[in-house]
Amino acid sequence: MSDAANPGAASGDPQAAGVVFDIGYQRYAGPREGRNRARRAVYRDGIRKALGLGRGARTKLLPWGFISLLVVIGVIMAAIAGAGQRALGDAGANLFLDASHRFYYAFTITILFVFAALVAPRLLCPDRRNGTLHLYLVRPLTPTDYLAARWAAFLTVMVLVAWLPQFVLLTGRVLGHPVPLAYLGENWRDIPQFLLAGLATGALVTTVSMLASGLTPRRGYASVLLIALYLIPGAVTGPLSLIPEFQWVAVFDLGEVLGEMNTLIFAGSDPEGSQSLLAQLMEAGPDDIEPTGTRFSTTFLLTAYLVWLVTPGAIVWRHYRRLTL
Amino acid sequence: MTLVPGSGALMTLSKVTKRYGSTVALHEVDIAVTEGIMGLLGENGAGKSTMIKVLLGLIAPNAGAVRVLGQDVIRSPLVRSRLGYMPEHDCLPIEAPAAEFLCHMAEVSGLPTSRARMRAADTLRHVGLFEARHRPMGTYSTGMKQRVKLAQALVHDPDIVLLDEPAAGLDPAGRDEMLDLVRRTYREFGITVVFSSHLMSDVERTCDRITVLEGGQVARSGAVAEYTAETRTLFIELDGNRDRFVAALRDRGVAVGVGKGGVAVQGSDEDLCDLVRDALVEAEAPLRRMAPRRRELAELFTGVDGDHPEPGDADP
Repeated sequence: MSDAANPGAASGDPQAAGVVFDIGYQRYAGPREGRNRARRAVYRDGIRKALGLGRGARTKLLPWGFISLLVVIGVIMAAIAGAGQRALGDAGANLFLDASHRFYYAFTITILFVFAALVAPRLLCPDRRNGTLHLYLVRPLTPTDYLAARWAAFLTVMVLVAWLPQFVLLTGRVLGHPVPLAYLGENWRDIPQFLLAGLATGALVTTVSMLASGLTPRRGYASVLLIALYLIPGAVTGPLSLIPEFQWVAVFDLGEVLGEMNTLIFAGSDPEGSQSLLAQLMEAGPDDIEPTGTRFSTTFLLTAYLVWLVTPGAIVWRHYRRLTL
Repeated sequence: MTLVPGSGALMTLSKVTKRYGSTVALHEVDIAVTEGIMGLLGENGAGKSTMIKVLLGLIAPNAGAVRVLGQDVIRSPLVRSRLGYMPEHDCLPIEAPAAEFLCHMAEVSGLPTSRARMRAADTLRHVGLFEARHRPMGTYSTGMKQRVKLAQALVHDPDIVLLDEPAAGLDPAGRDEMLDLVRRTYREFGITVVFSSHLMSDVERTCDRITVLEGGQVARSGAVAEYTAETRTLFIELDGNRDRFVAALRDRGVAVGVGKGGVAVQGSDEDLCDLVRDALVEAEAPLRRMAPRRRELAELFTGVDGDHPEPGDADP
């Protein structure tokens, strides 16, 4: 560049000339925010890994493909219900298809589980396989912090993936109704119910997914293990639980526990008019809850759910605390 | 920077023992890490990696006390925000670009996001990877990956960095670059370095102090300069007539060691220098270089006494 084009160079003013100085290594004197910052960073990284954010199209294909599929199912259900409603009135809304929020979960639970089986291992397996876990644990982060942050990250993704199509379905049903506000007024209880059901489903699927992903450094093995955990117990306990004396073995089937939890949570929307778990909790204490259309008593079902939630979590936590680095 | 009270050291191990089942990895080890570059030297299985893990608080010792920057590193994981660690094995997520990975690692060390981003770019510039910072690390060469591993250990500006075999797997040029970076880490950046290696030449070229581990115990410890001090052996290099020169020296009663590189004679006083001068004249041997010989760290292990020339003592 000539001096005419760069007057700063001619005048000898380095700033005007755009000169870059190497000021050498600078010590960091800013804030250090400790474990909370570390936990938040691992949490945010977990969400990015699960959804493939900041990565190529191939990495995004799997999670966003599943999310799209789930949303499309919600849209189709809303469209069919809306068409029936407009053609035949209230009776026509569920004539061709049960377009309830409860049925949506019942219909898509397997898709949600396959999503978890394929995506959850991304959060734990590569860190062990690549050896990156060492780099986390030599920072102000304990194995418990690391696992909790990853668990929370995948729970966030699972819950959002479960809720998003429900909101799409709700929006479709509201807009498909001749009097949208009337629909909302009559069905507002669906909202806390599908939120709670999504949270319950997400928490359990996340915990079980973390167990399978925490036991192996290979994503493929973790996915197969998770799908096996979902399918095999049901194949064994399904026929056995048809015998009244052995009905309780159904709690070993993850799909059955999730299904029964949804039945419990959405009980208020049952045709039989049984009271929902939310309504019972609001009107009485947990001790007064009665069976509500599920195969099991509420206490037994909630206990089974908690055992499913706590046991895998405890196993993977213990495993990570004992990992030899 | 917080020191371990009463010792002036940044890190101390006091009577530390670590067992894996019946195997004793460390046995009553006492070490104090002070400012500078400390070399941790030992053969494979000597206990170097175990010692680094104990210092990082990754494993608890069976007995003894570990203090890092004045704190118990097991009970206070927060102190690890002041430590950096470069493992020997692979540890990089190959699909991530280096800049993004370093930014994330800085955040995990407690830095706010905006500062972490700046530190990541700065650190990559210091290790010579600024231009390649947005490429996935899977596309990097072995040398570049080693530099990213060093960069992630430095990105949060620790007070102490522990490097486990940082030059492993590098070609001679890459090894020189990595050892230069390690030296700069202390001399320019002001970060104390604990440098583990099984290669004496690397430690000799890089470190100020050395601790030698053998079988989980400290065999020797001290300043590298002490071990490589000048000996009372005179080292002579010639351009020719070496055999006649050696014979002339022996005729004068001087003990001589002969190697490929030159000739070593015991002693360094003025009388000996006169005898060497006379032998050079008699043998008509052109002198290239004459200087007191320095010890080499290898002698720590071979037990050779640098003050007494051995037959191969004059090898370069």
